[in-house]
Amino acid sequence: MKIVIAAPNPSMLNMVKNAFQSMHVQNTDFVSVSSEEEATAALSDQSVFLIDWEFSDNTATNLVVHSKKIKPKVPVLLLATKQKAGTTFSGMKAGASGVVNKPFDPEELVRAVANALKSTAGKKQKVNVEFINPFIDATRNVFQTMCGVEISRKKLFLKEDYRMMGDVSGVMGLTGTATGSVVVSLSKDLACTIVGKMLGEDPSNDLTDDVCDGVGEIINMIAGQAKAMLVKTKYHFTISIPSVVSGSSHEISHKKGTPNIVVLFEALGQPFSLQVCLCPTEPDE
Amino acid sequence: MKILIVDDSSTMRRIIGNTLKTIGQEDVVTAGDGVEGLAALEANSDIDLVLSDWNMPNMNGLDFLIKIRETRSNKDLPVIMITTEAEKANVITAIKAGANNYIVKPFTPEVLSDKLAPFLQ
Repeated sequence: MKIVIAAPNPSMLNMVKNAFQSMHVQNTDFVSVSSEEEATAALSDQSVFLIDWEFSDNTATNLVVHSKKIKPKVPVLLLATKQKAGTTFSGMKAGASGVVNKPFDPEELVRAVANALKSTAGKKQKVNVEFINPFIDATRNVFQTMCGVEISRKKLFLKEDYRMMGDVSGVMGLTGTATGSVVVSLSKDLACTIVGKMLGEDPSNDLTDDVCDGVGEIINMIAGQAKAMLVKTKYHFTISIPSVVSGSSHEISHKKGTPNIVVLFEALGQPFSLQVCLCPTEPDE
Repeated sequence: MKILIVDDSSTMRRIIGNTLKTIGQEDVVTAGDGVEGLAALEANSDIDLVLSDWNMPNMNGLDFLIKIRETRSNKDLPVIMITTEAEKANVITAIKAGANNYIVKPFTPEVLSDKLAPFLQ
């Protein structure tokens, strides 16, 4: 395995190296790069590309775009502080597989790299459009009807581990014929704007209780609409009371071993994501 | 006309309240769940119409509706469900329990005022 690292600070190479050594991971090469040309030379099919989110310009996003162009199968992980993790949307949109928080715990970094390799090299999971499309349609309908805002779908991918990229997430647990969860995650600015539009009032400047409550109501409506569309299928579920989680780069757990589909959308020029994890209780015959 | 809005979401209570204002209905009482809703009905005998959510903590909207219909004085009180429960089966359950109409979230202000119109004098 070859770990290719791009960071503005050269000490990042040693920090990553030390993390892998402390976890006794062997047969790994480490290479530091600082430009697209160097990345082209260093990336091979057995690589994992770690990109530090600390670059002062667009270098990090450009490197993700570049690596996906030349080596689409090489997984890319972003290294970001908790404060900056909420700003990694552009990197994720460009194709990064996930975000590892800095300062990183060696175990967490090694596990994230292993998972990223597994999900690209391993068996390709089939995205079941049968259950994801109702959620996408419901999201579009909720934003359109309640806020008069048109949204566009940017990307859809499967994830084993996924850290929400927004500042606030509305979560709905799903039980019944199928079980799982659906989560909508928005940046602070987008959440305040959207809830303001729902209320027909000026947007709040902060993530107040009212804004969080509004995000809970958004996931409530998305889940309710999708539920009605999935009636009489093996993906039918019941809903209850939504909950709301806030804080940059918060993690939302989901059922182990269940495909977790992340859909990236854009509303008013800002990205937001929907995470759907749903599994029929009865296995296929 | 006095209207009771029962919803556990403060945002939704305000959205409904703001829409009611645009059609000249400003006399509004709010409650966060079925238990509070029953207390509000007890305290305000002049409530003319109830708009209730379905999924709420403590007492959900369906149980709240059933309780309303069990009370002799509230037997004919118009109750409209406003809920994310969009399935036909839910609508039938609510109508059978005595709901006078049913509004599915998300809704536009126009849909809300149209469904309320027959109940507003």
